[in-house]
Amino acid sequence: MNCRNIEQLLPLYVEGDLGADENSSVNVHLHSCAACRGISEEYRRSQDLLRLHTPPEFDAAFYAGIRRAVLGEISDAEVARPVFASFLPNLFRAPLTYAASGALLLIVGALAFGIYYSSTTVDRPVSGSTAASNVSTEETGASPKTDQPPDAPAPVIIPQRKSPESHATKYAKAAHSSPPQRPREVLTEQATPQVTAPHIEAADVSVANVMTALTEASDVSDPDSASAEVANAGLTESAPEMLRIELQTSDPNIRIIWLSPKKTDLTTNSTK
Amino acid sequence: MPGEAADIAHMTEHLPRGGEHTEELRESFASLVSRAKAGDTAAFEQIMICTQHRVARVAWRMLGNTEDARDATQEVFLRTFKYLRRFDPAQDFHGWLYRITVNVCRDMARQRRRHDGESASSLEAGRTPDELNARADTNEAEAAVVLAQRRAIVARALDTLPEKERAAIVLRDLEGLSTEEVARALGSSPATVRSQISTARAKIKTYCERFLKRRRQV
Repeated sequence: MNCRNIEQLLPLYVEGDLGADENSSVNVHLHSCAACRGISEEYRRSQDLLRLHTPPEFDAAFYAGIRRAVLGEISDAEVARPVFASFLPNLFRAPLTYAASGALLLIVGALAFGIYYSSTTVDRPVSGSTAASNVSTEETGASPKTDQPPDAPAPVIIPQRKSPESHATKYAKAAHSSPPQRPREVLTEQATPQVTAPHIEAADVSVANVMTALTEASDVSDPDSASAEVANAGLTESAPEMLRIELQTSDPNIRIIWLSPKKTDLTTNSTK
Repeated sequence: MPGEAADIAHMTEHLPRGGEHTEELRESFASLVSRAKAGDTAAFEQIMICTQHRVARVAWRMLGNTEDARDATQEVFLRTFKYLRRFDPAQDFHGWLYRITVNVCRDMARQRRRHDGESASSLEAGRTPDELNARADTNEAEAAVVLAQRRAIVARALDTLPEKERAAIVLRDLEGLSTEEVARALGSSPATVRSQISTARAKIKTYCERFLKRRRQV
């Protein structure tokens, strides 16, 4: 090693911070180099000076004052802290707690949905659309067979949808802002086309099916099969001059109400 | 209890640092720490009694005057209490405390620089080495003045160091920690600490030699 290398090691050498190999190399060099030995002495002197940097002797009152101030601030902070602040940080610390909170929220959400769903299905007729249709038929005294005009619409059986959240159902739910009791009330009141129109428009898919079925039913030659299907539809004469036909789908939220002038072609006056 | 804390404080001050503490002392101190972690302020007061000398000494060496050292020591213990729950008992408590002390002193030095717009620390006596040199000519107690002068030179030399180099030299050369302990306290690597120590010693030597030569000429 030359002097330049040794000089770089001297700051660490003077306090014994070098490894064994470097330390012995410096020792060998200093033995033969007076200049580096002089620099090494300068480092020793400055390190001795550095050790003079000692604080004054702090008395007991100095430390007691610090402790008093610290404990005072701690007690002040404890008093000022709200009660819930002491357990909130611990409550949200464990990851398990996060998972438990999430699970709890899911359970509560599922229960709320279940309660809501069961409340909507409580008022559903036992036999679905048939019971409601029979009631309305008895109330009006109308016979589906006899009061039916020659080109009366055939009863419609709307295919049952397994999914409760199908397209038509969603629209029907949006249209029905009132609870499910609402359709039953509609059966007994004097309905007007203005009131019922949104229902029909909302269930656009069902209406399309109805229209198709009506058209086909008008050509049906077998009156028995047609009358059997009429049993599934409610026929209500809501006004002297208006014929009201209500079709209850398997979904209690969807009811198709048909208003038409008597003795007219239903297919031409249908509301879409 | 204050007597027990004083015994622990005496032992911690006079025994070698690091892993050379006796098992009994370590258990006693660990017990204090666990109680303090649980919110026992009396136990925390015992910890303060055990460590206050060390903290105040480092703070004074970092900041250079008693007033700032008092404020820094107070802040160190407040932070220690605040973050005690996060302390891992497997860690060395004193190393953790050194780290808090160095951080508090850095923060205070920065605040002071912003307020004063000058060097981070000020000399305890408020005199420059030249002022002390002038007094030495007229003072009979020359030896005392020379000592004070040398201390002032060292304080000024330390003032010229960057914060990290100053912290490294204070912990290594004045507090006597090993390079690895200093690295842990400063949150850096031993190689970095060695480099910082080497640079700091060279700067201090240059600064001291310059003033000592000037004094010899006078």
